[in-house]
Amino acid sequence: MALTVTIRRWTGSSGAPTKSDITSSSTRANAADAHGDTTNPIRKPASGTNYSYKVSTRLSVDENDDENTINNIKWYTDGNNGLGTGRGCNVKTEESYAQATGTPGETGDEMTGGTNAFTYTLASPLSVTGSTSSTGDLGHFVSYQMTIADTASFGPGGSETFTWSWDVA
Amino acid sequence: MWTAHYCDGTSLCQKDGNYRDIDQAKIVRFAVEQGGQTLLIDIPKGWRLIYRERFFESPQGRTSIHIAGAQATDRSGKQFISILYRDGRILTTDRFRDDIAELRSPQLLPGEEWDFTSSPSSS
Repeated sequence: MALTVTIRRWTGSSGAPTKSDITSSSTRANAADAHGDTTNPIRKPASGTNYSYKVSTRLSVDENDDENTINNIKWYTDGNNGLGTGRGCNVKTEESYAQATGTPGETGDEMTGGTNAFTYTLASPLSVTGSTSSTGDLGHFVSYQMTIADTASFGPGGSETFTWSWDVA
Repeated sequence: MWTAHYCDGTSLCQKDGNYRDIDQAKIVRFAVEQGGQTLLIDIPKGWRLIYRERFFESPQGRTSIHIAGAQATDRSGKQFISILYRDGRILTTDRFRDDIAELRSPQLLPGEEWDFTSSPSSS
Protein backbone atom coordinates (compact mmCIF):
# COMPACT_ATOMS: atom_id res chain seq x y z
CA MET A 1 0.00 0.00 0.00
CA ALA A 2 2.85 2.32 -0.78
CA LEU A 3 1.84 5.85 -1.68
CA THR A 4 4.54 8.43 -2.29
CA VAL A 5 3.79 11.99 -3.30
CA THR A 6 6.65 14.40 -3.89
CA ILE A 7 7.02 18.04 -4.88
CA ARG A 8 9.14 18.67 -7.92
CA ARG A 9 10.74 21.79 -9.29
CA TRP A 10 10.95 21.67 -13.05
CA THR A 11 13.86 23.30 -14.84
CA GLY A 12 15.41 22.95 -18.26
CA SER A 13 13.84 22.59 -21.64
CA SER A 14 10.21 21.61 -22.02
CA GLY A 15 11.29 18.66 -24.13
CA ALA A 16 13.56 17.20 -21.47
CA PRO A 17 12.88 18.93 -18.16
CA THR A 18 14.77 18.19 -14.96
CA LYS A 19 12.36 17.45 -12.12
CA SER A 20 14.22 18.08 -8.86
CA ASP A 21 12.67 16.69 -5.68
CA ILE A 22 12.17 19.59 -3.27
CA THR A 23 9.94 17.68 -0.83
CA SER A 24 10.51 18.74 2.77
CA SER A 25 13.39 20.91 1.64
CA SER A 26 13.92 24.26 -0.01
CA THR A 27 14.78 25.72 -3.36
CA ARG A 28 16.27 29.03 -4.34
CA ALA A 29 14.64 31.56 -6.65
CA ASN A 30 17.62 33.11 -8.37
CA ALA A 31 18.28 34.71 -11.72
CA ALA A 32 18.93 31.31 -13.25
CA ASP A 33 16.90 28.36 -14.43
CA ALA A 34 18.25 25.93 -11.87
CA HIS A 35 17.37 24.35 -8.54
CA GLY A 36 19.97 25.07 -5.89
CA ASP A 37 21.82 27.76 -7.83
CA THR A 38 23.91 30.01 -5.58
CA THR A 39 25.90 31.93 -8.16
CA ASN A 40 23.22 33.96 -9.92
CA PRO A 41 21.40 36.17 -7.43
CA ILE A 42 18.81 38.60 -8.70
CA ARG A 43 20.46 41.97 -9.27
CA LYS A 44 18.91 44.86 -7.37
CA PRO A 45 17.74 47.30 -10.05
CA ALA A 46 18.79 50.93 -10.16
CA SER A 47 15.17 51.68 -10.93
CA GLY A 48 12.04 49.65 -11.43
CA THR A 49 11.81 45.94 -10.63
CA ASN A 50 13.89 42.88 -11.32
CA TYR A 51 12.65 39.31 -11.04
CA SER A 52 13.80 35.82 -10.28
CA TYR A 53 13.45 33.26 -12.97
CA LYS A 54 10.01 31.70 -12.77
CA VAL A 55 9.98 28.70 -10.42
CA SER A 56 7.72 25.92 -11.72
CA THR A 57 6.62 23.40 -9.10
CA ARG A 58 4.30 20.44 -9.39
CA LEU A 59 3.22 17.37 -7.46
CA SER A 60 4.40 13.94 -8.53
CA VAL A 61 2.90 10.62 -7.51
CA ASP A 62 5.88 8.30 -7.45
CA GLU A 63 4.19 5.25 -5.90
CA ASN A 64 0.51 4.39 -5.69
CA ASP A 65 0.18 0.66 -5.31
CA ASP A 66 -3.49 0.68 -4.32
CA GLU A 67 -4.58 3.22 -6.92
CA ASN A 68 -5.66 5.68 -4.24
CA THR A 69 -7.28 8.86 -5.48
CA ILE A 70 -5.28 12.03 -4.83
CA ASN A 71 -7.11 15.33 -5.32
CA ASN A 72 -8.19 18.58 -3.65
CA ILE A 73 -4.75 20.14 -4.15
CA LYS A 74 -4.09 23.48 -2.44
CA TRP A 75 -1.09 25.79 -2.07
CA TYR A 76 -0.68 28.60 0.42
CA THR A 77 1.65 30.89 2.33
CA ASP A 78 1.60 32.16 5.91
CA GLY A 79 0.13 35.41 4.62
CA ASN A 80 3.06 37.53 5.76
CA ASN A 81 5.74 38.70 3.36
CA GLY A 82 8.99 38.04 5.19
CA LEU A 83 11.22 38.65 2.21
CA GLY A 84 12.00 42.21 3.19
CA THR A 85 11.29 45.74 2.01
CA GLY A 86 10.92 46.04 -1.74
CA ARG A 87 10.73 42.28 -2.21
CA GLY A 88 7.73 40.20 -3.13
CA CYS A 89 6.47 37.04 -4.72
CA ASN A 90 3.84 36.51 -7.39
CA VAL A 91 2.21 33.16 -8.10
CA LYS A 92 -0.17 31.54 -10.53
CA THR A 93 -1.16 28.08 -11.72
CA GLU A 94 -0.25 26.88 -15.17
CA GLU A 95 -1.54 23.91 -17.10
CA SER A 96 1.70 23.27 -18.95
CA TYR A 97 5.40 23.81 -18.49
CA ALA A 98 7.56 26.36 -20.25
CA GLN A 99 11.20 26.87 -19.39
CA ALA A 100 11.92 30.01 -17.39
CA THR A 101 13.73 32.72 -19.27
CA GLY A 102 15.69 35.86 -18.47
CA THR A 103 19.18 37.23 -18.18
CA PRO A 104 21.33 35.03 -15.92
CA GLY A 105 22.68 36.80 -12.88
CA GLU A 106 20.51 39.82 -13.46
CA THR A 107 16.75 39.22 -13.82
CA GLY A 108 14.18 36.79 -15.01
CA ASP A 109 11.59 37.77 -17.55
CA GLU A 110 8.45 39.04 -15.86
CA MET A 111 5.81 36.39 -15.36
CA THR A 112 2.44 37.61 -16.56
CA GLY A 113 -0.80 36.98 -14.77
CA GLY A 114 0.58 36.37 -11.31
CA THR A 115 -1.01 37.39 -8.03
CA ASN A 116 0.67 38.42 -4.78
CA ALA A 117 1.46 35.03 -3.27
CA PHE A 118 0.82 36.24 0.25
CA THR A 119 -2.87 36.66 -0.46
CA TYR A 120 -3.09 32.86 -0.53
CA THR A 121 -3.33 31.62 3.02
CA LEU A 122 -4.42 28.58 4.95
CA ALA A 123 -7.91 30.06 5.10
CA SER A 124 -7.91 31.10 1.44
CA PRO A 125 -5.53 28.88 -0.50
CA LEU A 126 -4.71 28.70 -4.17
CA SER A 127 -6.66 25.84 -5.73
CA VAL A 128 -4.67 23.64 -8.06
CA THR A 129 -6.47 21.59 -10.69
CA GLY A 130 -5.54 17.93 -10.64
CA SER A 131 -6.66 14.45 -9.68
CA THR A 132 -5.25 11.00 -10.26
CA SER A 133 -5.54 7.39 -9.20
CA SER A 134 -2.28 6.36 -10.79
CA THR A 135 1.32 7.54 -10.80
CA GLY A 136 3.16 10.32 -12.60
CA ASP A 137 3.05 14.09 -12.69
CA LEU A 138 -0.07 15.38 -10.98
CA GLY A 139 -2.09 18.46 -11.71
CA HIS A 140 -1.28 21.94 -12.82
CA PHE A 141 1.94 23.73 -11.99
CA VAL A 142 2.25 26.28 -9.23
CA SER A 143 4.60 28.84 -10.74
CA TYR A 144 6.01 31.70 -8.73
CA GLN A 145 8.51 34.49 -9.14
CA MET A 146 10.31 36.68 -6.65
CA THR A 147 10.39 40.41 -7.29
CA ILE A 148 12.93 42.95 -6.10
CA ALA A 149 12.34 46.66 -6.46
CA ASP A 150 14.80 49.52 -6.40
CA THR A 151 13.62 50.25 -2.86
CA ALA A 152 15.09 46.98 -1.55
CA SER A 153 18.32 46.87 0.37
CA PHE A 154 21.36 45.08 -0.97
CA GLY A 155 21.98 41.51 0.16
CA PRO A 156 20.04 38.28 0.45
CA GLY A 157 16.31 38.42 1.06
CA GLY A 158 14.50 36.41 3.66
CA SER A 159 13.11 32.96 3.11
CA GLU A 160 9.48 31.94 2.90
CA THR A 161 7.58 28.75 3.52
CA PHE A 162 5.03 27.54 1.01
CA THR A 163 2.70 24.71 1.90
CA TRP A 164 0.96 22.19 -0.32
CA SER A 165 -1.97 20.10 0.79
CA TRP A 166 -3.88 17.28 -0.85
CA ASP A 167 -6.38 14.60 0.00
CA VAL A 168 -6.03 10.87 -0.39
CA ALA A 169 -9.01 8.54 -0.50
CA MET B 1 -5.00 2.16 8.63
CA TRP B 2 -8.77 1.98 8.37
CA THR B 3 -11.33 -0.78 8.62
CA ALA B 4 -14.92 -0.70 7.39
CA HIS B 5 -17.26 -2.94 9.37
CA TYR B 6 -20.40 -4.19 7.67
CA CYS B 7 -23.89 -5.07 8.92
CA ASP B 8 -23.36 -8.74 8.06
CA GLY B 9 -20.36 -9.04 10.37
CA THR B 10 -17.74 -8.89 7.64
CA SER B 11 -15.21 -6.12 7.20
CA LEU B 12 -12.84 -4.55 4.71
CA CYS B 13 -9.40 -3.45 5.83
CA GLN B 14 -7.33 -0.83 4.03
CA LYS B 15 -4.65 -3.38 3.25
CA ASP B 16 -7.23 -5.36 1.26
CA GLY B 17 -8.83 -2.55 -0.71
CA ASN B 18 -9.16 1.16 -1.14
CA TYR B 19 -11.81 3.69 -0.22
CA ARG B 20 -13.71 3.17 -3.44
CA ASP B 21 -14.17 -0.50 -2.55
CA ILE B 22 -16.12 0.23 0.64
CA ASP B 23 -19.71 -0.95 0.33
CA GLN B 24 -21.63 2.14 1.43
CA ALA B 25 -24.89 0.17 1.56
CA LYS B 26 -23.56 -2.23 4.17
CA ILE B 27 -21.20 -0.16 6.31
CA VAL B 28 -22.22 0.34 9.92
CA ARG B 29 -18.93 1.35 11.55
CA PHE B 30 -15.65 2.84 10.37
CA ALA B 31 -12.42 2.67 12.32
CA VAL B 32 -9.24 4.55 11.52
CA GLU B 33 -6.04 4.10 13.52
CA GLN B 34 -3.02 6.34 13.79
CA GLY B 35 -0.27 6.49 16.36
CA GLY B 36 -1.99 4.16 18.78
CA GLN B 37 -5.24 6.12 18.67
CA THR B 38 -8.40 4.79 17.06
CA LEU B 39 -11.27 6.89 15.80
CA LEU B 40 -14.51 4.92 15.66
CA ILE B 41 -17.58 6.29 13.99
CA ASP B 42 -20.94 4.62 13.58
CA ILE B 43 -22.66 5.15 10.26
CA PRO B 44 -26.42 5.56 10.68
CA LYS B 45 -28.59 3.59 8.31
CA GLY B 46 -29.17 5.57 5.15
CA TRP B 47 -26.06 7.68 5.66
CA ARG B 48 -22.83 7.56 3.70
CA LEU B 49 -19.28 7.42 4.97
CA ILE B 50 -16.98 10.35 4.21
CA TYR B 51 -13.28 9.66 4.55
CA ARG B 52 -10.07 11.35 3.48
CA GLU B 53 -6.48 11.48 4.67
CA ARG B 54 -5.36 15.09 4.21
CA PHE B 55 -1.67 15.84 3.83
CA PHE B 56 0.19 19.10 4.50
CA GLU B 57 3.69 19.45 3.07
CA SER B 58 6.14 22.28 3.69
CA PRO B 59 9.92 22.56 4.01
CA GLN B 60 9.43 21.78 7.71
CA GLY B 61 8.09 18.34 6.81
CA ARG B 62 4.89 16.47 6.20
CA THR B 63 1.92 15.88 8.45
CA SER B 64 -1.50 14.44 7.89
CA ILE B 65 -4.89 14.17 9.48
CA HIS B 66 -7.68 11.66 9.02
CA ILE B 67 -11.10 13.08 8.26
CA ALA B 68 -13.99 10.68 8.78
CA GLY B 69 -17.68 11.27 9.11
CA ALA B 70 -21.03 10.54 7.63
CA GLN B 71 -23.68 12.38 5.70
CA ALA B 72 -27.35 11.69 5.17
CA THR B 73 -28.13 10.68 1.62
CA ASP B 74 -31.59 12.26 1.65
CA ARG B 75 -30.00 15.62 0.70
CA SER B 76 -31.08 17.06 4.04
CA GLY B 77 -27.52 18.30 4.59
CA LYS B 78 -27.22 16.44 7.89
CA GLN B 79 -23.67 15.33 8.56
CA PHE B 80 -20.97 14.96 11.17
CA ILE B 81 -17.22 15.01 10.71
CA SER B 82 -14.44 13.93 13.02
CA ILE B 83 -10.76 14.64 12.60
CA LEU B 84 -8.04 12.46 14.07
CA TYR B 85 -4.84 14.45 14.48
CA ARG B 86 -1.33 13.03 14.63
CA ASP B 87 -1.09 13.79 18.33
CA GLY B 88 -4.25 11.84 19.08
CA ARG B 89 -6.61 14.78 19.47
CA ILE B 90 -10.04 14.37 17.94
CA LEU B 91 -12.24 17.20 16.69
CA THR B 92 -15.90 16.59 15.91
CA THR B 93 -18.10 19.09 14.14
CA ASP B 94 -21.27 19.25 12.10
CA ARG B 95 -20.04 20.54 8.76
CA PHE B 96 -17.12 21.29 6.50
CA ARG B 97 -15.78 24.84 6.54
CA ASP B 98 -13.64 26.15 3.73
CA ASP B 99 -11.96 28.78 5.93
CA ILE B 100 -10.29 26.10 8.06
CA ALA B 101 -7.70 23.88 6.40
CA GLU B 102 -8.60 20.76 8.34
CA LEU B 103 -12.30 21.21 7.64
CA ARG B 104 -12.06 22.23 4.00
CA SER B 105 -14.60 20.42 1.85
CA PRO B 106 -13.23 17.38 0.08
CA GLN B 107 -13.28 17.19 -3.68
CA LEU B 108 -16.00 14.79 -4.71
CA LEU B 109 -15.24 11.34 -5.97
CA PRO B 110 -17.52 9.36 -8.27
CA GLY B 111 -20.58 8.39 -6.26
CA GLU B 112 -20.29 11.37 -3.93
CA GLU B 113 -22.85 13.62 -5.55
CA TRP B 114 -24.18 15.40 -2.52
CA ASP B 115 -23.48 18.95 -1.50
CA PHE B 116 -21.17 18.92 1.50
CA THR B 117 -21.60 22.53 2.44
CA SER B 118 -25.28 23.22 1.90
CA SER B 119 -27.56 24.09 4.74
CA PRO B 120 -30.31 21.64 5.56
CA SER B 121 -32.84 21.74 2.76
CA SER B 122 -36.50 22.43 3.38
CA SER B 123 -37.56 20.41 0.37
